Amino acid sequence: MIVAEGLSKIFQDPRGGGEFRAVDNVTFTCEPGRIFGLLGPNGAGKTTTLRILATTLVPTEGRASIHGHDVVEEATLARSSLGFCTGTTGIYERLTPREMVVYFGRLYGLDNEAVATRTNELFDLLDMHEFAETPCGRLSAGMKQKVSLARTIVHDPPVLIFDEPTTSLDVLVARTVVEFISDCRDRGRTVILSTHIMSEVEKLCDDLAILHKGRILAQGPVDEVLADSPGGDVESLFFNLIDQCEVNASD
Amino acid sequence: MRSERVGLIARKELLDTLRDRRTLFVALILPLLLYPALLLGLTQVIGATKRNLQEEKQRVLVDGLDADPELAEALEEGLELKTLDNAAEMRATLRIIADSIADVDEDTPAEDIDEWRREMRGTLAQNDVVGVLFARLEGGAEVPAARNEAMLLFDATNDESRAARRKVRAALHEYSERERERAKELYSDQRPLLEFMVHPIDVSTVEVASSQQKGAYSFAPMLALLIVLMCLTGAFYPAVDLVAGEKERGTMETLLVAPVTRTDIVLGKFLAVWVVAVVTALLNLGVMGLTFSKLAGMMPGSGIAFTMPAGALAAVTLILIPTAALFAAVALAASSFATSYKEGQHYLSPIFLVVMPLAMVAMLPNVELGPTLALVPVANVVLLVKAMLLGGEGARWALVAILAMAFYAALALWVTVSLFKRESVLFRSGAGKGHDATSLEAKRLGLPTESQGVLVFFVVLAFMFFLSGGTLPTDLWGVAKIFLISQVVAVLLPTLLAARFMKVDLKRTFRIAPLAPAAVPAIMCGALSTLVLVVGAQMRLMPAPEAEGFTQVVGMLAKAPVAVMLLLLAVLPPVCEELLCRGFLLSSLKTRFGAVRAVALTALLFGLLHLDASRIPATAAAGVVLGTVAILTRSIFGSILFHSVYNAVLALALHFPDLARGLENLGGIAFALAGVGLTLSLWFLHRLARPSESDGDSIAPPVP
Repeated sequence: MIVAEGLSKIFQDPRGGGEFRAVDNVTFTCEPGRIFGLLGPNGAGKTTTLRILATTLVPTEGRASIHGHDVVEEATLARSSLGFCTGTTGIYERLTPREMVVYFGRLYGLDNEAVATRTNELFDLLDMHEFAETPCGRLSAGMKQKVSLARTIVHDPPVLIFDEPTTSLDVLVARTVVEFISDCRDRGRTVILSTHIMSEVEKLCDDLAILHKGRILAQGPVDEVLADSPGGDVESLFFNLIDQCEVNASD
Repeated sequence: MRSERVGLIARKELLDTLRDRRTLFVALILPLLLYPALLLGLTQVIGATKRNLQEEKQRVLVDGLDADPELAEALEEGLELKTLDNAAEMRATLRIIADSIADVDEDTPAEDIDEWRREMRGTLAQNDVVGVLFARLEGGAEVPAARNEAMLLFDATNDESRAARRKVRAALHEYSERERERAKELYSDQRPLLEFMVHPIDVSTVEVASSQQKGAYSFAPMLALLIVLMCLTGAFYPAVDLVAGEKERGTMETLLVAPVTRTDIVLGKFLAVWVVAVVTALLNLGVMGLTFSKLAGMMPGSGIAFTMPAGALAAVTLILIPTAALFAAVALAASSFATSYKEGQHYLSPIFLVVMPLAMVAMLPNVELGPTLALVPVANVVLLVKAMLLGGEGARWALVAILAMAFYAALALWVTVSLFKRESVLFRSGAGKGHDATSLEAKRLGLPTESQGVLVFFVVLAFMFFLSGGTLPTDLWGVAKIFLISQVVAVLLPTLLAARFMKVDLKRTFRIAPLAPAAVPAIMCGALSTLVLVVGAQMRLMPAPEAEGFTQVVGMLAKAPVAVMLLLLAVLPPVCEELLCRGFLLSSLKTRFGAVRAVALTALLFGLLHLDASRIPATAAAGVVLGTVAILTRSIFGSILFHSVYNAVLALALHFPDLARGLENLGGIAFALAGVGLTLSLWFLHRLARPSESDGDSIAPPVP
């Protein structure tokens, strides 16, 4: 369960002295066993929102909780209940996949024995045994992404955050990731996923929020949101909303 | 055309480089601002501790000078001569040893020679002298066949002893010249006899330093310097990799979402970097020790040997541990500002700029570890390493130096941990610089941020440094020019330009607000009380040594018309310095640190601004009161008035010697009265401030 209430984040505008609202009064709830999609163009505030949920940024206004833990007041507890994976979260190139996963397992509080068992389970699941002892720096993009996924769920978290997880991956690897995410839902996890790829939303998401310039333009279960769409698909809805938004702004 | 393409590429690369603002700032601008600050600091410290060996009188044991009082007199000019009752006996013993050393051949075991030398050094130390001059004067030029001899015992590894030896040699040289001249006069008609006069005195020198000591003397400074620099690089590169490198590779975020606190992360990284730095330093120490001892062995006949005694090794290791910790923390802090490994590397240069001059203290002769230098980071490390290898007084301060370094390391670690808690530091990349609430608040109020304040302070310091110096003034206009330049050009101009350039709200930043008339008498009373307290404390605790130029300037000011003097001392500096310190600096620091800490920090910077270490405590103390007044009256005119009254009394004291004497001889009752006066003044200002306290520091809530 993820609850976000009136989240805002203000940065200093890099182009001048003014302030810049990266996230502006965002409210939503993600339920267990469902995938919540955060759709928006680059710079819409998706990453900032997810970083607030992941406790790495502190919201300027509003509050959020992960699995019942406030992201500011109980940041460490919130982090323990959370798996966070982005297209850019790096892995340690000088460690092997096994060392990497074990390291994070220990950071999440698993003991040596549990972490060894869990690592083997994950390596079975993601078919990683073959390259388990090769330094990550020498792995292909697909193998690296698997290491990232294994790292994300090493502590079997109830809540999962994926920030543009398929960006810069080829179709084969992207499919592994998509299957992995839908598998997480099937096992009853709360999943939030940000993306700018429309087809991913249609394929994966149960609920949807469309984010533009830090604000949510539309949200609800995917079919309900799509009912308002002129073309009945995510893409036409998306452009329609953004056009409306621009028109409102210029008025 | 090839040259055209090369030029095209070069132009683009230059543009690219110039656009990398942060690197440019760190590599070009920062040093410009740092150099003056460093040099000033260093000259202050060394000036306070370096002894002038030429002027100082070293104590030398002499015997056999009775025959020539003129020589004794010449020696007494630079030396304190000590004679002994049992000189003859000691002379005989030392003579035997010296002769044995002079007669050594290849078969003489080195241990024997060192043992003899040790004995001689022991005698020197026992008698509390740095050298010995034994003379046997049979007669001057008038005794043609006289055999005059001088035997010198000195320690080449002791700077005091070397200075004394120079003086003795100079005096003996003078004596020879004199006798030779006299001989020419006396025997001008008997040329052949001059043959005998060519050597009026035979001088022989016996070295009392052992080969070990000579080795230490030659190698210790280099070893100390290198070990510190190696320790720094040993800490720096891993730190940059573990912080900036992690950010660049994207693993920092992975780590941040794990259920560990930022403090855990910093401490973990710090431990790793610390271990690497300690190991680097110790490995270098070991390898350098071996190299130097090998090098000494390869120079036969030089009488140099190099080994590191266990005690020295232990002490050096002990101080390297906190040193490595300090460097590890500083390197982590620096690299937290960088977004990439490449950028992080540039941050080494400013750190080097600070560490290098401090480490270079190792190369300076006759600077020894003392109570002051033991507190100066890095300088205390190199001096301790030197002291441990060379022996000497400095080793007594080992514990102070080690504790001081441990303190600095803890402080640096604390700063680093708090740095890591800031978002802007952890997410330097991306859409915009993460801005924490306090900086946003400062921006919204139109006030400068704390980093802008510190930057302006350093710019002012640099201006003061580059504009100071030159020839001493010879007339009143010259003195006035010094004040105008140091105040208007160095202090006021950068402050106003910065305020304009940073687009701050001038009224708020500089506290341009009317001063309540009722506050005036309280401020004047407070200023007089503070003056009495500060001047009294300064006179009693640490009278400031007066610099050459300073006395001259003061002399000229004292003779100037009172109005001019008051303008130069009681109007110009208060206006300029208050606008900078209680205006810009205090405003910039207050949003971040709160009023109390901002006042204290501003006072410290205000003290540093006066470029004189001995005056820092007094100026900073006055600065605390000035800051309090500015906060309480919410008007810059409050602190300007305070500063003016304070300076006016000091200025008048120049003019009226009676007033100066009165200030110098204040008694306990005056202090008590001043204490009460100050308390009452501040209490009154506080009362006065209360009614409209709700709107904070005279700042109405802003309209966003």
